[in-house]
This record gives sequence, C-alpha cells and structure tokens, in this order.
Amino acid sequence: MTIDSKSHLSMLSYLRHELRTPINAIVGYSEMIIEEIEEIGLDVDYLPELEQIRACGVELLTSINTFLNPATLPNSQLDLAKIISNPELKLELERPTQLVIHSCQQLVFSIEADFVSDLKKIDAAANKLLHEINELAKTPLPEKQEVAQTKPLEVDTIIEARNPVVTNISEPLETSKYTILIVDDNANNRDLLSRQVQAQGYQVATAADGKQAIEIIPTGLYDLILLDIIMPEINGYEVLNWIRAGSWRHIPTIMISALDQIDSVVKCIEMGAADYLAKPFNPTLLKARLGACLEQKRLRDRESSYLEQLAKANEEIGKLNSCLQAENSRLSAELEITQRLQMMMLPKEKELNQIKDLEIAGFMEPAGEVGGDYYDVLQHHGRVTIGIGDVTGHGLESGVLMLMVQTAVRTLMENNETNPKQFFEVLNRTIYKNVQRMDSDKNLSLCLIDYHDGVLKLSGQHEEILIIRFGGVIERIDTIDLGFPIGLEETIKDFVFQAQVRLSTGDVVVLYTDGITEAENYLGKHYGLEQLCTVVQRNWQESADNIRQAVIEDLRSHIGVEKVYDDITLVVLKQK
Amino acid sequence: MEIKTENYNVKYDETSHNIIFDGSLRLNGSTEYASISELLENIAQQEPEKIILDLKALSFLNSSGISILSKFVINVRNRKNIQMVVIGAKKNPWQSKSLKNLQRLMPSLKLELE
Repeated sequence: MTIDSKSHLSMLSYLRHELRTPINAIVGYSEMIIEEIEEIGLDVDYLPELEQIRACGVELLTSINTFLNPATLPNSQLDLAKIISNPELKLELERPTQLVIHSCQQLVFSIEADFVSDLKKIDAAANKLLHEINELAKTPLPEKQEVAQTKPLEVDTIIEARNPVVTNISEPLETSKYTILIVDDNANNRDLLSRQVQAQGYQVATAADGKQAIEIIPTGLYDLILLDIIMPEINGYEVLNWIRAGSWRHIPTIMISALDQIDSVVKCIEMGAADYLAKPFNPTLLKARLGACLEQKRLRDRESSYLEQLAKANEEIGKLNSCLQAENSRLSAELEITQRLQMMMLPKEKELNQIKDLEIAGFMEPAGEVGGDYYDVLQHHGRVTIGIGDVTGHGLESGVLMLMVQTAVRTLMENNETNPKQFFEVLNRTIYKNVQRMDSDKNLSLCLIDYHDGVLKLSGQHEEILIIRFGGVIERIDTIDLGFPIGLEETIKDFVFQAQVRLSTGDVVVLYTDGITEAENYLGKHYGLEQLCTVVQRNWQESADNIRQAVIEDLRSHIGVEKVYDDITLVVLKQK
Repeated sequence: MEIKTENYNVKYDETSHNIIFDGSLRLNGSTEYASISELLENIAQQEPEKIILDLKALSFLNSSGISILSKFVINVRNRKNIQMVVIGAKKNPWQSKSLKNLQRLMPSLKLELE
C-alpha cells in the first residue's frame, strides 16, 4: 500500500469517527428514553416516533459502514475524493437525519418534561450531523493525516498544573462499591456512558481527554477505566501505555471503539487492555463486560490481599520460629545441666576401689530427656551403703529430686542412722515435703543395701535384685515388701522391712533400673528381666567390669538404633 | 467416657462404675498421662458408691502410669465414702507387685488377682 493510500485510509477513518459521534448520540439517547419509558411503565403514544429516531440512527450507522468502509472496497478503488463526493452517500445520510430532526421537533411538544433535555441532545446531534454531511464534500484531501497514531509518551511533559476535573455525576449509591472512570472527549458519549454505567449502580467519574485522565487517575481510587481510543492530543493508546507502565497497571481498562476498528482493538488488547466496547453502547454488553472485568479485579485484589496475609503469617512464623529456637536452646541447656548434675554426683572410680571386700562396677547413661536414675556407693565408719533408685518421669525436676535423695541419704548416714524404718521414714518425709513444695507429682523407687563383712542388708522398694551364686545359680529378691515409693505418701514406716543375704566369694549382685528391662527394640519388645538374668548367668565367672560390659553390649544390640527413652543404670557387685 | 488409641484403651462404664484398661501403657511422664488423669479425676469427683478398676487386660504399665494409679487411689481414699475394687491378672508380671502398693495406699481396697 502506498503512503498516499495509507493517509487516505486514515482520513477515511477520521471521517467515520466524526460522522459516527453524533449518530451514536442519536441512537444512545433515543434508546435511553425508550428504556426509561419502558422501565417506569409509561403508556405513551409517541413511542413509535422514538423508535423511528433510533431506527434512523441504526440506518445511518449502516450507511457509514457501507460507504465509508475501506474493507468493502478493493484497494484500487480507494479514491477518497470519489467516496466523499458520492451523491448517493449524501442522500443516504441526509434523509434519515432530516427525519430525526423532524421527529424531534414534533416530539418536543408531547414528550414528558424529564426527557426534553435528552431530546434536545438528539436534535443537536442530528443538526451537527447534517452540518458534517454538508462539509463532507469540502474535506481537504490529506498529504499526511495523523490520526490514531501512537508514540511513546513522556509522562513528565504531560502533567501540567491544571485542576483535574472530576465530575462525580451522582451521589454514591449505597450498594455501589466501584468507581468507574470514563475517558471520552465527546460530551454526549460521556453523558450516555455515564448514565448507562450509573444505571447499573456504579459510581462514575469522567475525564474529557487523555491529558485529564492522566492527571486524575493518580488522585482517586478507580476500579475500572473506560477509555476512548480517538481523542485529541493524547489519544487512548497513549493513555493505555501510560496506565500499563505505571503504578496503576492493576486498574482494568476497557477500550471504547467503533465496531470496525478491530485492528485497533487487537492492538489495545496486546497492549494490556482488559476488553473493549463498541459504540453505540449496548447496555447488556456493557453490563457483562464491566461485571467480568471487575470480578477479575476483585479476584486479583483478593489474591493480593491473601498474599499480603500470607506474608504477614510468614513474618509471624519467623518470629515464632526464633522464639522456638530460643526455647529449644533453653531446653537443651536445661537437659545439659540436668545430665551434668546427674553425672557429677556419681561415685568416682577411686571411691569404688576403696571398698575392700567388693568389686564394684557402675554404669549410668542418662536418656535424651534425663530420667532421674540414682545409684550411689557411700562409705562411713567402715559401713558401706549402696543405693539404687529411679524417679518417675523425666527432666530437670526428676534430676533435682534425685540430687535431694542423694544428699538426704548421705546426711542420714553421716548422722549414723542405722535403723531402716527410721532411715526411710525421715528420708520419705524430707522428699515428700519438698515434692509438695515443688508442686510436683513425682515419687521414686529406692533400695538401699548395707554391706558389711559379706552380709547384705536390703531395704526399700525397687526392682528385683539379682544374686548369682558361684557356679551360676540365680536368686531373685523381690523388694516390693521391703518398702514403698518415696515421696508419694506422708508416712511409709509401716511398709519398710529389711532382708539379709550372705555372700560368698565369687557371688555376684546385679542392681539395675527399668531403663534396662524396659528398653525397646524396633518391634517395641522389652529387653526384659529374663534376658538380663541369662546374660549375667552366662558371665558369672567374669570380673564385675566384664559382667557390666557384657550386659551393656547385649542391651545395645537389642536396642539397635531405636530411641532410648529412659536412663540406663547398672551396678554389678562381686564378692572378693 | 473413653480414651481410645492404637496401643491402649481406657473406658468408664457409668452404670457399673467399671474402669477398664487394656493394651500396653507406656507414656512419657505426667504430661502425656494428663488425659487419663483427668478422666480418673472426673470419676472420683462423681463419688460413686463403688469403683471397679479392671486392669486384667493391661499387659504393661510403666512407673509413671503406676504413679498415676497411685494418685487416683489416694484421691478415692481421701473421699472416704467410695468402695474400691482392683482386678488384675497374674499373667501380667507387673501387677502382682505394683498392685500391692495400691492396697497399701488404701487398706480397704479389695484386690482380686485372677
């Protein structure tokens, strides 16, 4: 296509636009009056005349499309001078226009006062059209016509100090949550569109051209923009470009165009317009497009509000996480302290070696959550006391209770308390009162063994005590009837008794806590007392150290990689 | 009232006042035993004439659990007007020993080992 025919095309497009603008007003206002009459149920005899006005408008649009549409003409015939001077065109346009003017003059006397101003707009539009038709033949043929041309826009140069004109045409409706900005340089179009949009309950603001639009978009919260393409100075493309490039890109923009501007429509959609609307505005289509675009916007807004909430929640989680880390490090510090307390109170190797007649091998391994196991070997004035016990539950409280028991036992020994009933009664009262003060629900099993000259005197309730005689025969001593849990009841002396066992050379005594017998393998099966007896019996002739090692190795092979729930404590004595 | 889990169940029959434990109970300390403690506390508060604690089908109870039962027996004993029966089974090794402690806590408690 030559430059010449290109500019002819542009000129043609410009002429269509100029002619259609008043026709759109004729169709739009007549349609609106008809709709309002139908809506309020008026029974009027001039309805056929209004319908005739509308029909004339539609007929005029058809004529424009027929005579001024290059698509219906082969390129070779694109002779602008010939088209616009076509006498048939003038006739086709003049006749219905005259009819509209005539109808308006008739109707102005009979129509309801409310509609007079709209009717006058139709009349004015028809007269304008008539004028345009007469001017048509005088249209100067272009060298180059610049219509509907886009160029990148420098936003800074556009915003001038000018008061933005925002006409909020109606009071906001109670139900209306959305404000729609209408940008059109044609007052009739603005008016028509505003009224149709308002009729659907929306709030409306208008801008009279592209420049105004760019000035007012940043000042108000518009939910949607209806944007005319062809406007003087800054056209619709440029405004769209500006919207899409800035902070207002989230506002959906619907382009307003004539039906035959399909290329422009495609271009706008590619540039980021949400949709388009053809003039004259069909109310049903307008309603559907506005609804769809705003629904999309609503979903997008909701999405971004969710994202915002999500970001807030993430922040919250971050905060909680650092609290949790602090709590975790506090807990692991607590565990470390408890484990250290428990281990530091264990008898030292040197002390054990000082016991003349006994080989003693002790083992303790606190669980991840310390369980409050206790074992001790104390010597005072040639009297040896071996203790073993287990505080219920886990953690710092259990560990602290175990420390108290150790101190109380030592205190009673240092005070030469030898009567087991007295010993346990005072010990129990001490622990019971402290447990009450601690508001704790813990108690403990405790067995104390006095050793002197080959004789064991046992008192207190704990697990069974194993005696493996020289040769491997095993005796199990039940301690249930020798005592009562410590710290559970105020007084226990009625339940405390003493049992005696004489040891010969090579006899082995095994003390343990339930951390051994109740240790679980991967099937949840307990290690069990029977297995402990078996291993000790098999190793009776070994040293106390070796027996201890044999038991721990067998226990570890049972547990495998399973979690160790409870402290593991084992004490092996062997009569020298 | 009932607590049902994979490893154990605790059920209270409100007409016969039977508390039935079954399965294997190995919870970690009093915090994990809280729901059972609460159930037992509720029963004690109702002060029925007689409570039957049926442990026949409870194959294992760890020391924390025994401690919880002990507290319950003390609670019942202190209310003075409730009769208490504990039913166990000799096939459960832990019972012949530990249930004795319950009887010591409450001498009027009737212990039946089947």
